[in-house]
Amino acid sequence: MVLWVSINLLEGEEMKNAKKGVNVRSGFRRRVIAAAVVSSLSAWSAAHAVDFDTGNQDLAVRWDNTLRYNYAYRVQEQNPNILASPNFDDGDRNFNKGTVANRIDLLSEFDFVYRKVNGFRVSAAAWYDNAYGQLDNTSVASSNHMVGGAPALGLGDTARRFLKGPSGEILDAFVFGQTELGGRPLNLKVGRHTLVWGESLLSPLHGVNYGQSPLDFRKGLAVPGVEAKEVFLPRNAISAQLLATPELALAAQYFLEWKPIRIPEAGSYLGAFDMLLDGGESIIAGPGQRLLRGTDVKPKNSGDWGLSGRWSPWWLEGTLGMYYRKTSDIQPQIHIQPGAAALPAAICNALGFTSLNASTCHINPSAASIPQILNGNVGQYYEIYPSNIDILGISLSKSVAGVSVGADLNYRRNMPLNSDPVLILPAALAAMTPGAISALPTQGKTGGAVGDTWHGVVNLLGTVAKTQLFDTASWLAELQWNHWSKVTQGSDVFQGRDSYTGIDKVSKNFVGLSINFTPTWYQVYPGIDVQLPIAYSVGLSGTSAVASGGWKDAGSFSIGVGADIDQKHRIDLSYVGYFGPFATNAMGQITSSRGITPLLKDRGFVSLTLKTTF
Amino acid sequence: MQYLKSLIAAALSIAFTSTALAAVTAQEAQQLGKNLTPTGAEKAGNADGTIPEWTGGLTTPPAGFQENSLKLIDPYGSEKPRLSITSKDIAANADKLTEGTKQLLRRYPTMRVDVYPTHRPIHFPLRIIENTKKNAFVSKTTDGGEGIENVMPGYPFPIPKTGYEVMWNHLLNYRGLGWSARFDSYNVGSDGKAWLATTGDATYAWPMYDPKKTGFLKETESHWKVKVVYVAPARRAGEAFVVWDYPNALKQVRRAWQYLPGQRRVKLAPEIAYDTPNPQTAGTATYDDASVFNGAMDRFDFKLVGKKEMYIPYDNYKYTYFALPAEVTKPGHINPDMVRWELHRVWVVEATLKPGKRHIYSKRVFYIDEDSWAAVASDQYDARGQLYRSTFSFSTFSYDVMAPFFDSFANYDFISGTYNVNGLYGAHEGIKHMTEMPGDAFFSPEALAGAGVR
Repeated sequence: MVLWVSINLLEGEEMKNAKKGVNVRSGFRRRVIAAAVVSSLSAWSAAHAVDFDTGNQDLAVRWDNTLRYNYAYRVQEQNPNILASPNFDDGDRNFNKGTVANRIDLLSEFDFVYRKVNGFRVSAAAWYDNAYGQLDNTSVASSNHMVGGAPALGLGDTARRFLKGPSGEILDAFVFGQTELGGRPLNLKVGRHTLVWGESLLSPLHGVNYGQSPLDFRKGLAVPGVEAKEVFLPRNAISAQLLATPELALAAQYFLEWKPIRIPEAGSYLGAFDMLLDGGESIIAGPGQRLLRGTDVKPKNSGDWGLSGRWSPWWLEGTLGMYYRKTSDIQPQIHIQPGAAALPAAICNALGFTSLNASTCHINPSAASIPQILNGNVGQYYEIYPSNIDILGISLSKSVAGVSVGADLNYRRNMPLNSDPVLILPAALAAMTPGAISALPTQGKTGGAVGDTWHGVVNLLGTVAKTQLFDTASWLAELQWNHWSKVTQGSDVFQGRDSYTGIDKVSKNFVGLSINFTPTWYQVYPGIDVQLPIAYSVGLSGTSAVASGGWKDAGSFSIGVGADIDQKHRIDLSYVGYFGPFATNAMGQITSSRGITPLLKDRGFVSLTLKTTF
Repeated sequence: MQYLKSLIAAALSIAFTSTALAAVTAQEAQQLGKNLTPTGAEKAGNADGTIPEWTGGLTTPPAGFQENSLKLIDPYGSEKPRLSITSKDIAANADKLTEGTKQLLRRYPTMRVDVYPTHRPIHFPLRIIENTKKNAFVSKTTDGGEGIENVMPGYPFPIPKTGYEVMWNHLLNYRGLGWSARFDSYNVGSDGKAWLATTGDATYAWPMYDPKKTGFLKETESHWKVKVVYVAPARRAGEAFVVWDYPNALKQVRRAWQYLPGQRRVKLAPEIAYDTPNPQTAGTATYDDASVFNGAMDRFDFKLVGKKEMYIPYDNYKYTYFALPAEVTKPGHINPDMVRWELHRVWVVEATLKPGKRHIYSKRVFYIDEDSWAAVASDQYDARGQLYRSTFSFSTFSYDVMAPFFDSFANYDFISGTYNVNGLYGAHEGIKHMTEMPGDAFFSPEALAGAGVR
């Protein structure tokens, strides 16, 4: 399975605020950036199993290890526009044509099951990528990595840990059990675990499951052949499911922790946004000027919960799901707090600020001190994750003419919308600047645009039996739709406002399409089945109102050939590419982009993946 | 040549349609339990004495049998083959060998058909016998043979007139209330190398045979439910699916769901049907090859050819429960030392692809054991009319619970030279027969999601 995702980010560029002659030089325009992420979620990986003979029929203990090796080779030349854009170039510069991955991954899973329904499960991943040992970047001036307050070559901590390694992390860690409630089976899980509700398969953005399990595109993008269970990030939660009647299943989930999405980090091969995400360290605001990363405003670890009912009445010949979720965003809105602004000294002094020279005004000492400003560190930026999103959804799953059809429709209130970076200015200036706010939002709040949105997903999953061309083929097509109905906050920064001119201007409706097609040939050689997985994802019309929701003409594709050997080992050779339009200025710098895929359009790579038993 | 004609000519049965619902005449039905066994097999042995008379089946477990044992000891284990057929004996035995068996003998000098004395151990609980007798009068097919009505839990057509009726007896055949077991499946490549396809925990249940059920089968009530949870190879551990089959597959199509590991939810899987390749068989079998044939009959025209004495795998206790599955396979074919063949009367049904329908087989010939009504072998032909595949099932009679067991089978693909053996139980705990139906939650797809660990 190939999964495509998009993410929302920003791009720095000089922003002019004409109002009252105030020219905020260090302003920014916010861009929605799409990341199309290709991650092979194929369940077909080779693994090493230890199925312990416990000598007790009630007890099942197993320990499985999947070892994976990836080699990736960049085949496309660096794009001059991307190189000319200091906030989008680090990943591109770090990896010129040649080896971009030389990585080993281990996934270890341990299950302890008593009487089939009670027990615990722990899984963990470990990795190391030798390709991150030598980086090609020589452009300190455009590097967003900071060491001791000054730009430097190299990688931030998050990129170093998650892309280079060696490192690891615990994934699942939960206990589970079954009991009875009113004579009906009740399943419980407590701890770090993943649940995915609704019917969406390829779009984690538009399904009712948005944010339920943040996806790890940091690994998903970088490591073809990654397992689904490595890409859905488990969160600490309590969940319960009651089979209330043979036709009705009720479920509830309460989260004990919040976790954001993961995207390829600043400076990594597929890192398109040099200021993002977890490890982003600075935004280049202009020549010699930077905004430093401030402390994120993250949601509380409580208050995220959901209820679902799945009803499968006889007459429906399918399942109707109903959902309510209260959740927090897993993608940030960027806020910027400049320490200095371009204001004539007279106005600067009249407003009670300190003028640094004839045209530079020190408007916010807490965002940047004078020594910092003299060093070019002119302010701060923040990643703000708003809370209090209501999601109401229905889903339908039904077989139609031998095809598995899934549909998922959801309405979201207080949904963060694609916004320009929100300026945090002193109150006097904020009052004069549309969309600006005067203080960092409190936990759960945002200065960005928020509104009400509709999201729809329809997918078809089928199999083609033997034809002249192949022995069998599986296919999956998913259409995604998004509509914004109301902007309830931040309309001045909403990227669907009339005055917004970027190539990524939000439209009322967005429609996107993802297709996977995998023909299989059995026993091409004794013991070897061959597959040709093809995946394509593209925005068909409009720009989605939500972060990473999709953009017309932007997307990604992959084509590969895979061999399954003795149903134990797997070898895949594939090509992955990205496409989409961006707009540039006279200097060739990118001023707006339809998501992340245009920013990766020079990163096409060939990858070889081996999964085997050890 | 021992062709036994179809019991009643079509013209004769038309003459009796005045009896409305009666599928067979009272006179015919009276033969059940007399010159026919209670479920419609020919009671007498054959003229040669190579098929014995049915005398009530194996009612006493063999010496050494232990109560609640999940691995049955072979009641005929001490016997020696009375005949061993190799490639040079094909012509002499041509009428008693399936096309697939002949093909194996022709291809592989190491292939052998060891024929043992024939036994007729199969017999059924009283309620099955009684319902079968009732059915003889009232059960009938609908929709050109593809549906049924007025069927009590038992064999619907003990005195069949058509290919469809024989296939219905197979589709509804009594295998107890159900069973659960850990099984192994192996593939063997054309180079002779074997590899583990899967190990899984399978549960089959036949709610139609729940003693609590009374009255006719309903098309809205699933008669057969299957749940399989894979435990090996490790990459498939945690994958699972559930299938619900209905007695009238056209009115109520099969329902199937697969569990998505890592996401802990289920997805409808309507592709688990017809000629979709069964992914664990390395392309040697379709989903509707499982149990020799399962699912809807709408793509073929099923014609009853007649009844015939043939060498088929039978009483394969050794094979089913052999503790070392690796020794079961040999290059090209199953280890002939492992397989017991016996001479039995089988119904031969020829299914031809209907015009306008698609399936990778243009024709399939089914061989259905007279005593159990289970299809025990089939030959499948490709679009050019050439022998493409063959399926065999390796039967045992679970004398402890009075139920035939047919869920060990093998699929040979003669084009790729690959074969698959499915349903080897000896390396694990054995086969646990149900004494009562599990609750509705057991086969619930939502429960599969709710209880999902992987």
